[in-house]
Amino acid sequence: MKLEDVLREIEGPKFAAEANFASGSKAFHGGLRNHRVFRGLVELMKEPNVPQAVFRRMVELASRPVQLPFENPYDTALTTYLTALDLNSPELVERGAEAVSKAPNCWWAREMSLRVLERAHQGQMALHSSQLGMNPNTLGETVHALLEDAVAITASLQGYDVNASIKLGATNLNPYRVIPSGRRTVIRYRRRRHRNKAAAA
Amino acid sequence: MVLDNHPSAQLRSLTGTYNCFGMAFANRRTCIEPIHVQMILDDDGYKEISPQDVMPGDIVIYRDNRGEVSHVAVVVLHEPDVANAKWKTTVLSQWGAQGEYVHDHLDVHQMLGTPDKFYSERRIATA
Repeated sequence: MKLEDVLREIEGPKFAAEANFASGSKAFHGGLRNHRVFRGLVELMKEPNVPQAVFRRMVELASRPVQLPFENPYDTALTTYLTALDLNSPELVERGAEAVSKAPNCWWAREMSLRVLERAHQGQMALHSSQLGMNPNTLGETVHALLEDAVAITASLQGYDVNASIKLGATNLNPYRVIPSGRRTVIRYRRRRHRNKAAAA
Repeated sequence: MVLDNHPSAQLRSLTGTYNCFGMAFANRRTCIEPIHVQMILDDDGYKEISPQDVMPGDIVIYRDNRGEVSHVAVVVLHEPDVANAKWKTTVLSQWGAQGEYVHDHLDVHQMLGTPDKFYSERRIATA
């Protein structure tokens, strides 16, 4: 089977209809992996340059405009390509997941891409923590503490009041912008420490 | 395409904005993942019932070959099939993103699993 034929079949309505009988993601992925066309794609991806061709096709489909009141017609195809890349080309799957996560009105593809990105993020955290010789769970807390100190130092160097710069979220210098969670805890901690200092004085 | 393999199924509505669990438990407004189904059954007071106690409005849960919840359907007709000494159950269910169908409870796509147990949330007055 030629790659063009497999891609055409995957992007066609019959394949999407068969895959979309599933009620949940487990059934969807189970059905996908057992599907004749998907197995054909996985076989083809063992040949050189095929993973790159699938990757390019996937990115192209993900960037296509869609009619916003309707589901993305390439939802199943994008998920299929991403799953195949995940099995065969781990070096491409992360970049592919980033592109797919931006495709509008997807259900399966969005879930799959977010799962890949989350796994990549966890892998990076584990790598960084092993390089630092730390427990992955405590790495996040340490990074928060370091960023907190960075804010305090930068603010004081630039003549800001530390509490005010944190409270206002000082957009020019506040690295808290990149912290997804734990911000409130850190700020509360900082304020309490300053209150204690003031009380001691 | 869907009806090729299930000629006796009758299409009720073509929609993909909810799945079978969304149809049965969330007023056709959203998709619900199968992993949440047991929690919903517990929270909403569903109880397992035997086939002879089934009434229209009760539900049937389907499971896949690993024993995990894979589908749900709402009973619309439940009558004795005297000739074959069994019950004939007609249900309404959403087949993935392919729409709602009225069908025999045994006549579903293989991806939806097989009927396992009937449940009801009926509150029955006791003497």
